[in-house]
Amino acid sequence: MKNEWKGLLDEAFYAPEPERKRAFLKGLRPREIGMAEMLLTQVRYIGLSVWIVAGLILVLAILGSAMHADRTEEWIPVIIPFLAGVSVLETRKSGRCRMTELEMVTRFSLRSVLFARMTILGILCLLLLCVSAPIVAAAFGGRTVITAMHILIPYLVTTSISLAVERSAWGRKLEYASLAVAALISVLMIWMQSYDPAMVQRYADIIENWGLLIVLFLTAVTVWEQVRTIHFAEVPA
Amino acid sequence: MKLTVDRLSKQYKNKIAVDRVSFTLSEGVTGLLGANGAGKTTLMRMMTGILDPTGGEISADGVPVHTEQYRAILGYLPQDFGYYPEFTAREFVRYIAALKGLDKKHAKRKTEELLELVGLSDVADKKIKTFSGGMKQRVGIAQAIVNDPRILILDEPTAGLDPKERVRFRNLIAEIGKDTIVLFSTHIVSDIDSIAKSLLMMRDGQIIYDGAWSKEQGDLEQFYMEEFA
Repeated sequence: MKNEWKGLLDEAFYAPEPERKRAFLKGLRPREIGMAEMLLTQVRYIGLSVWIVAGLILVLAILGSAMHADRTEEWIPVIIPFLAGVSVLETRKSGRCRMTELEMVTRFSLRSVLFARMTILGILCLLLLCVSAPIVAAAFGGRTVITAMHILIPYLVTTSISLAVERSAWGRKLEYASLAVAALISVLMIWMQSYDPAMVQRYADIIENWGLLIVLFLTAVTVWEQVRTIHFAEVPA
Repeated sequence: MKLTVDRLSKQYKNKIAVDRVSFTLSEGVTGLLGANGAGKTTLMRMMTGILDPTGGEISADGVPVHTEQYRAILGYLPQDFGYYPEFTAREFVRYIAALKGLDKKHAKRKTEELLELVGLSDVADKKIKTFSGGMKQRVGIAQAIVNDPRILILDEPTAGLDPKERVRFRNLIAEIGKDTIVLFSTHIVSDIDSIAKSLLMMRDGQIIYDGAWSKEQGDLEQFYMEEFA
């Protein structure tokens, strides 16, 4: 196109000044992340205490198995309630740090945040189980499934009781109620192992025969408690 | 965009905190004036979806308050907000940006831009717990606008700001208000009299004034003092 024509065309059909340009640009929303991406972003906001307890259990499983330390099998179910306890504490983090209101008004609401945190913690527990149970079972001549159930049952019991307690009027007043529940379950495990060999045998027999059903039942109860906790998080005053 | 509040009420046992309030807001700054206990915070908390009203409805261009679509265009600065103690200013704004659904790249860019805007760039990596009240408030302002909200609700946002910061903040809100619905609650008339295109005044849970304030109507401060003294 000839330059003089271009000039003439520019003069005849000049571009108007942009009107409400800012409002228009604001209307173009940037790409928004999906639930899966949000879940990944939440990983880095999981409290340090969770990683420390999980790491401790893993180290105990690996070192105890490698050194054939006698009580490794017994100590993991004693410590695992504390992983459940600190995990449940994560569900109260928003309230404890007065972030509830801010997290309720974002696109991914507080319920989504809680769901994401619980999912991450569930995956962490599952990974821990997948790594530690076969190692311990192999080292002490047990069956992986039975060892996994011995680890999982105290975890599920602590999680479900802690979630229920945290929602109660009593639990809401006590900031670290879930750790108290964890300590109680842990002490019960120690007591059973130390003073009642007959009960240990009965417990082992029950897991051998009914373990899978018990785990399924406790998983269902835990999920139900998690759903209730997620719902409870945003119940307006 | 129109933000419609229709016959909104909130009752706590035998106390009516908000009593059948109705109004419509459009782009621009609207000042919400009222003494402490007038129902301003309750009204704003209902407008953000934090509180369920006893009666009435809230919607933005027909989108109800309890939807993700509504929250996606909402920015909110509560009167008193907390933060995770391990968070720096940068981490805090980026965390909220992630919850508001911004992708990583956009969240990063927007966070830097806003920390610069609120004058916190040089302390962006310092923990919020070491900040003064005014600095915390500026972090709060940054998180409220990180998603370029179409509706911005500010509950006593100037509390804790020094006079210089108040002026800067006023100018910022006036700029945002050009294409955003801004509801700005305060009990200090000078915070809003120069930037608000309209006013809502609340007393005992009811709106006692809704509209623009012109100089012909007299001194706003004086009117306010007479009504709320």
